[in-house]
Amino acid sequence: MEPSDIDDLFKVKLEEAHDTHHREMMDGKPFVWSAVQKNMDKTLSLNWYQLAAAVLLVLIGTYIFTMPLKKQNKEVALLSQKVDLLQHNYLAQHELLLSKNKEVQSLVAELKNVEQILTELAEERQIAQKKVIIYRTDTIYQKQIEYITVVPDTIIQYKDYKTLEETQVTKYAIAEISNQDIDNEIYPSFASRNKDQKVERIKVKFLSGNRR
Amino acid sequence: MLSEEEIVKRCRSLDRHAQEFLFNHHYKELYLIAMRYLSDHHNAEDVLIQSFTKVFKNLKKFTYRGSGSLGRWIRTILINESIRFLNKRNLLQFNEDLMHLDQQNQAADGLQQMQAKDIMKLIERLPTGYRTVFNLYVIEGYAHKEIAQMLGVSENTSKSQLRKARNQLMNDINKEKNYGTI
Repeated sequence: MEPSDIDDLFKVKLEEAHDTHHREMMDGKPFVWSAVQKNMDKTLSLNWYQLAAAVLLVLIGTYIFTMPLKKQNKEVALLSQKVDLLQHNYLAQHELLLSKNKEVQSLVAELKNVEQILTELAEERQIAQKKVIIYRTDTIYQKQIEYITVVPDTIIQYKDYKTLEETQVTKYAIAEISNQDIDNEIYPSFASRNKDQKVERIKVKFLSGNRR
Repeated sequence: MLSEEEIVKRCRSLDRHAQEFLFNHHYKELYLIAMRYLSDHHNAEDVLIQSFTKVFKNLKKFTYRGSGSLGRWIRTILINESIRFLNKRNLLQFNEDLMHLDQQNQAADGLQQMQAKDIMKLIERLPTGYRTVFNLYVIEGYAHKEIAQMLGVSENTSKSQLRKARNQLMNDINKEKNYGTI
């Protein structure tokens, strides 16, 4: 007999073994079924837990992921506000600066005008050095300072008085000057006088009790 | 009476009555198969619990291919769980002792005379390695190449284990015959 034939015999015989271990089989059946049901219930509840855990993980993951993004967005928004503020301030300052520049320019222009005027005035009129000359008249010395308008480049001397432009002041001055003796000049002395200087002659009268 | 396909559909919907029907329909057959592999009632019950749980959990992945396909699928799950159980407990040992082959032809008559439950008991008494290969080759119809892959052994080991299983069974049958029990 071939081994395969014997194998077939075994197979046929085992297919007939329905009643083998019948008692133990039936005794264990309820236990097996209840254990299977428990496993299935555990699986179902586990699925709920798994689902809940998965959802929670997703939420936590999303929160963790979006937190830095939100923070960055806030910082960007703040920076943007600051930039806007700076830009606004810059524009305002720029306008202010422009207006100030205009003012400065107008002031500079005015200053130039003034300088021009002053220059012109300075050229027109030169303030000569006033020299005080004290004359002695009689016995009464009275210091009286009279301001006489001096014509530029004109030296007022005794002999030249006629050439002066006749104003009210110069008339008086000339009259005074013509009556004076040059020897009565006590200040400054004749020796110290410089002919080239522009000299203003001043008549001085000393009044008793009114010395100054 | 519901068809097999309808039962599968209801079990997928977690219909407890359909699940119980499926359990009752296949319990006896699977119990005997488990006993052939494990030769212990408590171990067989543990493996049955694992197998049925796996069946109900994975029914969504099962594709119904006609009558009998569900039974074959469930049996495959049970056999795999039985082998996994034996491996986990380090019970799957492959004995390489040499055995005499002459008893084979003489025991053929004895085999035909023996009752099924006695042959079942003889198979259960085999060493784990012999028994597993014998069950996979003779009863389930797996090739040696497939058995070698399932058990993690070589084809030659599978062949030698089968040969030894046959020899031992024949010896045992002869003993029964000589003792006058058959």
